[in-house]
Amino acid sequence: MDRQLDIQTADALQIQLPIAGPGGRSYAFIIDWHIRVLFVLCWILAIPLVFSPLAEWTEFFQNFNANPRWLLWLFFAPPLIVYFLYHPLLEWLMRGRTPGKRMAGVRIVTLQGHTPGVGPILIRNIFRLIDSLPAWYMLGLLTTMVTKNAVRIGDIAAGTLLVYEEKVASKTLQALAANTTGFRLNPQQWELVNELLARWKQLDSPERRALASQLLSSLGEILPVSSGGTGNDQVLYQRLLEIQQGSGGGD
Amino acid sequence: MVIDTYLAHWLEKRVAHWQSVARRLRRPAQRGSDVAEAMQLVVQYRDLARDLSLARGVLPQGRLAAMLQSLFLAAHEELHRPPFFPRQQLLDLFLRDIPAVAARLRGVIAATFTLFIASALCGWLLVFNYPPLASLFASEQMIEMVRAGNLWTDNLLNVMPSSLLSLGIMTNNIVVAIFAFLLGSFYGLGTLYIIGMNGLMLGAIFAFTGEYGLAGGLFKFVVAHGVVELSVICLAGAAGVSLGEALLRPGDRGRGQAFQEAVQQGGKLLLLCALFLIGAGLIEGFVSPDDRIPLVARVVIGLGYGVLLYLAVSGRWRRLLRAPAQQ
Repeated sequence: MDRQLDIQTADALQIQLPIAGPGGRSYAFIIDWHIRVLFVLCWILAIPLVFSPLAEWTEFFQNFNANPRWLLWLFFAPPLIVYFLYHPLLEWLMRGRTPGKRMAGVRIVTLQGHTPGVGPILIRNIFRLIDSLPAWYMLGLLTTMVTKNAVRIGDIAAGTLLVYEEKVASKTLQALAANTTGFRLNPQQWELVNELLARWKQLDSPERRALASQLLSSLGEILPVSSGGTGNDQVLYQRLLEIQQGSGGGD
Repeated sequence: MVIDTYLAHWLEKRVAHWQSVARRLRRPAQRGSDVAEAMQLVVQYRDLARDLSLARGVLPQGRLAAMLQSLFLAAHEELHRPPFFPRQQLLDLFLRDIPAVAARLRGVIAATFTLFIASALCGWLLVFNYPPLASLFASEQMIEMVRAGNLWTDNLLNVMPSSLLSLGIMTNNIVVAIFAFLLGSFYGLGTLYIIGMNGLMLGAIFAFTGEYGLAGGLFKFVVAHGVVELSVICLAGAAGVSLGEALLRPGDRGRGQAFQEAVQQGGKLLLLCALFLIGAGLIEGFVSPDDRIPLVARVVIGLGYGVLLYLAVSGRWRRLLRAPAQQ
C-alpha cells in the first residue's frame, strides 16, 4: 500500500509526498549504521598505528591502561562523538538527510512538508533511546508498522516523517534548460522522450529499439536505416538526446 | 494541434523562470535580504502554483509535474520559514518560554516532588525498620564499607581526578534526567518508576548510613550538589509525566498532536535541566568530595545553586535583570 503525505497549501494546491515505510527507513538506517561502524573500526585500528610503531601495535591493546591519558581520549572520543552526533548533526547540516537516507532516496520532512529545524531533529534523535528498546530498534520498527505515516515514536514526538525524494526533479530542470534552440515538442512528447532516455539502460535492446522507433516516427522523424545491434541502439539514443536538447524533432 | 503548440510555447517560455527560482532557492537565505527580493519570490511562487496546476492537468504523473511540485514545495518552505534571530530566540527561551512551561506544569511538578519525597520516606522507613532490606538498594561493596565505618564517597578523589569524576557524574545524571522524561511516553508509568525508585534509594541509603552513624557524613557529601540534582530529576520527571498525561487525556486535540505538544514543551524544561546538571556535576566532582570544604560552605553552595534554579524555572531572574535596567 503506497501511503502519501497530503499537504494542502494556502493556495488550495494539494501536494502529495510518498511516505517511506519500514523498508525504506530500515535500508537507510542500515547504510548509516555501516558507515558509523566502518569509521569506528578504521579509527580504532588507525590510532595505535599512528602513535606506536608497528611492532608495538598489539602492546597498545595489551597494556591499554598504561597508555597516556590524552591518547585514550583520542582513542575513545571521536568514535563516541560520531556515534552520538552522526544523526542529529548530519540531519541538520544535510537538511533532513544523512548519507544513508540520501542513498535510500528518503528525507525527513515535517508534517507540512518542510525541512525540520534543530528542535524537531534533536527531539527525534533523543527519542532513539526509547525507539531502540528493548533491542535492535524493535519498538521503533514495530511503531513504523502500525502507524498511519509509518513513523517511530521519535517522529511522532517531533512531528516529522520520512518521505521518498523525487530524484528526477533536479535532472528534469537540467534537461529542460539544456533545450537551447527552442521547443518543438509539446509537454507530452517531451515527457515521453525523457522517460525513454531515463529508462534506456534498464530496457532490453529490442524493446528500447522498438519504443524509440515508435516514438521517433510519431515525432515525424525519418528513422535511421535499421541495421539492428548495438550500433543502431546508439544512433537512436543519440537522436533522442538531440531531440531532448532541442536540436530537432517535432512537427 | 493548436493546444500542443501552445503548450510547447508555454514550456519554452517558462523554463528560464523556473531556472531562476531554482537558483534563488539554492542560494542560502541571507539575513536582511531586501524586500524587493522577497516580493519577487512571492510572485514567482504564485506563478509556480499556476504552472504546477497546468502541468498536472496535462500530465498528472509526469516528470514535469514532479519537478514543479518539488520547486513549489521549496518555494513554499522558503516563504514560510520562521525568522532566525538566535540571540533573541535563546533569550526568549530562557526568560519566557521555560518559565511559562514550568508555570503550566506547576501542579505536575508539585505532584512529582511529593511522589519523590513520599518514596524517600518509604525507603527510609523500610530500611530503618528492616535493616537487611538495605541490600536491595546498595551494592555488597557499599554495605561492607559502611559496616566498616566508612562511606563509599570517602577518598573519592584518590580513585579518580575531579575532572573525570565530574564528567562521569554529569553524563550519568543527564542520562537519568533524559530517561525520566522519555519514559513518560509509556503513559507516564516509566517516569513514575524512575522518580519512585530514586526516592526510595535516597531514603533507604540515608536510613542505612544512619544506622552506623554516617548519615551526617553522607549529608555533608550530598548537600552541595544534591539540592539541584534531585530537584532537576523531579523537574524532568514532571515533564515526563506531562507526556503520559497528554496520551491519557489529550483533551480536544488528537492524541498524537497532544503528545507532540507535550514533548516540545517538556523538551524546553529538559534543556534547562541538562544545563543545571552540568553545574551540579562540576560541584559533585570538585566540591562534594573535597574534605577541606566545611559544611557551611557546602550548604551555601547547595542552597545558592538551588535559588538559581528556582529563579530560572520561575522566570524571576527576568524581573531581576529588568530591575537594574529600569533604575
